[in-house]
Amino acid sequence: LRTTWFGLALVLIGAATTPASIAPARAGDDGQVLVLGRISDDPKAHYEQLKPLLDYVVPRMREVGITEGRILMASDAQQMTSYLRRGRVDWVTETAGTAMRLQERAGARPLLLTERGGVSRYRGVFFVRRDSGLETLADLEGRTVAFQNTASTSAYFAPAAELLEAGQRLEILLSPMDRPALDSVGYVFARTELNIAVWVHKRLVDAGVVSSQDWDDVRRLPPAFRNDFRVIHQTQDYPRALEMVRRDLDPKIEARLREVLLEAAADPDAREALQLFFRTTGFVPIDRESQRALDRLRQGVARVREQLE
Amino acid sequence: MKKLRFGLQARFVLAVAVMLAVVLALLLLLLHRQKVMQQEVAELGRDAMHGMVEQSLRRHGQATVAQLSDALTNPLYYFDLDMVGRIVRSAQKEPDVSYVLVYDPEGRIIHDGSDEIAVYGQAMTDPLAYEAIAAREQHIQWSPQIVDVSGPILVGNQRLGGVRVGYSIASVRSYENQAVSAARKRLDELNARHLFWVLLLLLALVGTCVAIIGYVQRTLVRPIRQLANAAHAIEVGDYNSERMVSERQDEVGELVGTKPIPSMPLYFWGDRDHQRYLASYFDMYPGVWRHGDWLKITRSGSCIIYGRSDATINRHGLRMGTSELYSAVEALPEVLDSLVVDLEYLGRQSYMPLFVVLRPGVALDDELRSRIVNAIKTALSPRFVPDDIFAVPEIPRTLSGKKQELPVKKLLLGHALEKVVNRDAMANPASLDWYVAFAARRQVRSAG
Repeated sequence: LRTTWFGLALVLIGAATTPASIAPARAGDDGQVLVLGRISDDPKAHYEQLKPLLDYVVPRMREVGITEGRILMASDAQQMTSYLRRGRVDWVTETAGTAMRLQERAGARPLLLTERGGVSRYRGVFFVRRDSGLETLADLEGRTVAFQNTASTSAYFAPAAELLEAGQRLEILLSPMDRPALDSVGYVFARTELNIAVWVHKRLVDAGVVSSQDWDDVRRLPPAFRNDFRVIHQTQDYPRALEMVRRDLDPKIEARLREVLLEAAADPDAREALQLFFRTTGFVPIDRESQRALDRLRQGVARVREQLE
Repeated sequence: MKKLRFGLQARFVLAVAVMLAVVLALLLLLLHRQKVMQQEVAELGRDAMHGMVEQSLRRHGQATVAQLSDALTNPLYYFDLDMVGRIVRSAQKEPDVSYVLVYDPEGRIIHDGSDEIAVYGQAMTDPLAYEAIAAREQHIQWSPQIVDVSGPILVGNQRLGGVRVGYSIASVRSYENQAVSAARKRLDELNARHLFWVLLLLLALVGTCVAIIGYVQRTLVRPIRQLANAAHAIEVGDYNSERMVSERQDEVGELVGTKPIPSMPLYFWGDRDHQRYLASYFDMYPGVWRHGDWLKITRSGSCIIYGRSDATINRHGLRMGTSELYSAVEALPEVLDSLVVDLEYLGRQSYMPLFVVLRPGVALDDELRSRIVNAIKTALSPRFVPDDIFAVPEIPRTLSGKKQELPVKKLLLGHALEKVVNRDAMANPASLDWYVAFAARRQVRSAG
């Protein structure tokens, strides 16, 4: 009997000391807690960006039984997929490409489009050195392209999908110095826009892709480089970002959340929280055109994942 | 124009000036030595600091490059120039760093920390590059301007490239100079304060010297000069010049009574018209009682009596007027005239010579001497027998016929002739010549 009590005590202590991030609240079970999720490589910084909006939203959702808000961050899309499937996360904010991935893998549903920095749509921009002699996507055969990373919509999913659609074979390279087979386009991930720019500028790779936003941002693409570049192709437009909810979220909660977020842009009390929330300037309903773009993107992502990963 | 003389005062001032100059020179020498020493200390400090700075630079450089090599490995492996740039830029922000270069195994620059990486792909050609590229482990090179620390960037045995950090020696030197000049400034401040005290001391010294000069001038030089001037005035016959007045009491002088005192004689027996009485006491200083003794009043107020100042004879405590002796001596038929003086004076042996004028043709032989001595012994007392008897041509007398005992006495005590007698008041001034010669002989003898 004593051993049993001791064991129980250990279990209790263990439960009490387990960090919240390891044992997240089951959002679906109690219905009292709204969990906002985010894929993050810097939870410490992102927590401060998410918390104000959550603090704004939660009190306005009392009527649907929400009394508490929590934040749960995942290190990658895979982990977030798992959180969404298990109902640990109710609401996720993501770029379009990753959002489509979450939709496909975890059944997450788009709630609203997110306008960041006044921009609700963007696209991928293919660029080369002016003196490279490359003019079209077709010229990239046997050449190398630098994408950003595997989570990027505008600088990976969308451009890769368009290359595939154009009939190019894509081949991942070991490093920017590596060379592809003559009948395929070699690609590498450069991690940052600046790396893409430097690699193209220093002729490590032949072409690079960045989002249209980054193309116009002198901090990410120094003018000294940009002056030597020429755009050879731009992808179609895609929504800048999406608010997603898990597939089995209570429709009342989903409806109220949509309502609150749509109103937030006009509410002065929300302005600061939105600004901190990845420079969000507003949420807009998903119109038909956007839906088509998302569908196209979803197919593209699926294709890229299927053919490249 | 007054002729400049190298007098007592000038000598004294010169001596003090020389002393001051010597003290000043010594002080300056001391200050100079101190300054030199301080400079040496500053140099030593600089050397020590120099060594310390170099060592610290070396240690710091090695640590920085080790850390950079480590941090740059992964970004360089993936050719993440963005991250490489960030790391290089943050290293460039370190103090004294003049360049940070990341290069490939062939020594071509991959990143220099700039946004454009304008030198990308260029081979490093600076003088320190060859050794840095060739080095397979951390390597330090010193040039006059730069300390170059380089280290390879490795993944396992594969060499991805290397990183070089150049530290500007000039900026390190400027820190060094700043520190040294700060130390020197503090020393200078210290010096200034020190100098202030030295000057103050010097001023005190000068002040003391001036005070001493003033004091000596007042108490020594001026009185001597005044005396000299007075003597000179008398020498040229100016008797109306300023009289010297001495405040001092401790000199031998005449004992006089300015007020009547008990037991003063009122008159002499049988001296009807008080002539002898007046001549004895009031002749020298009219209206003032002259007691006839040499006297000194000491500083403590006690008095010392040195002996008779008048012609009175005082032999071994017995006093007697000279006239009794003259009566006894001049009673002899061979003796026409006589004069006796008692040269008694405190601190000297008493000496009483008797001068006689003999009848012409009579010689002063031993027989006559013994008769004179006998006459004195008989009439007076053996104590009044003179020490010597001299035959003289004449006895000096005043116009009124009085024997000049006191002038002769003073003459024989060493006083100058013109100070002891006024020749115009004498009946036979030429008679003094013999006594002057006699006094000179005596002085030579006693001096010899």
